[in-house]
Amino acid sequence: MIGRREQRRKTKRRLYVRKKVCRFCADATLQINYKDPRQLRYFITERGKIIPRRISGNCAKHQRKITLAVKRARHLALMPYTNMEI
Amino acid sequence: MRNRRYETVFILPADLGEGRQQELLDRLDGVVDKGGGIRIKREDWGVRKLAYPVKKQPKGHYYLLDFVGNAQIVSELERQMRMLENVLRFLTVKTEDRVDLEAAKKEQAEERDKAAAKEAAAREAAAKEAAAREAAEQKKAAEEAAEEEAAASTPEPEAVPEEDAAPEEAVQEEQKTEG
Repeated sequence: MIGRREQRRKTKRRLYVRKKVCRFCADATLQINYKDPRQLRYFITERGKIIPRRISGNCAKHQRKITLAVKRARHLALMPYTNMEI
Repeated sequence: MRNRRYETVFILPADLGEGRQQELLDRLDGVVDKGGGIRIKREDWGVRKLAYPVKKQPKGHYYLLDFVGNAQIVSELERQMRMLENVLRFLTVKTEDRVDLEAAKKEQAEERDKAAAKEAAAREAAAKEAAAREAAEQKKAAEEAAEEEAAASTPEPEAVPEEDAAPEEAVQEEQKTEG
């Protein structure tokens, strides 16, 4: 019984999964740059946390670059470490 | 020692006097020059709001220094910046691992020409503006003198000088829009 239910849940969940394509792989002209906080803002939550690639859809290579860029931007006070007001 | 290309972003307090700021910039430039590096350019990002206060400062003046040099320059630059209390933050990033020194020198010269051209244009614009302002003032003074003269020579009712004044004002306004 339990096994079947689990299986059903799995298949149901898979229905909603849509394969995402890494935007940086799709468009080679896009550059990841720590000096451009406006572009990086897309990859952080309202609280300032970095969005996981499971949600953003980035590939591992570009997610690493994003992470590095966000951390550099944070050090230079171009981006927040946290945003507690929201 | 191997030369690489680096860029250093640093933040100075927004309320620092211009003289103190220039002094700091010159000092950091001097570090690169003394180490035998090539300063390619310096970008001035202007005063920006910081994402969070640094040393109780809500705003900072961002600068970017693009240069070619060896690792010793970088460590000396960072040591100096750590010592200087007026540097709020700094970050050095390596942008190129292998540099062609000749190409770097060429780029430096290009950037210098660009900066000089920009400065010259700014100076010219300022001079033009100043000249226009001076001309306007002179004209205004002359008109005032003429008015006074007219008022002194013909002590008539006010209707006449008022008519005189109207077209003069129009002329002045036209000049202002030109300037």
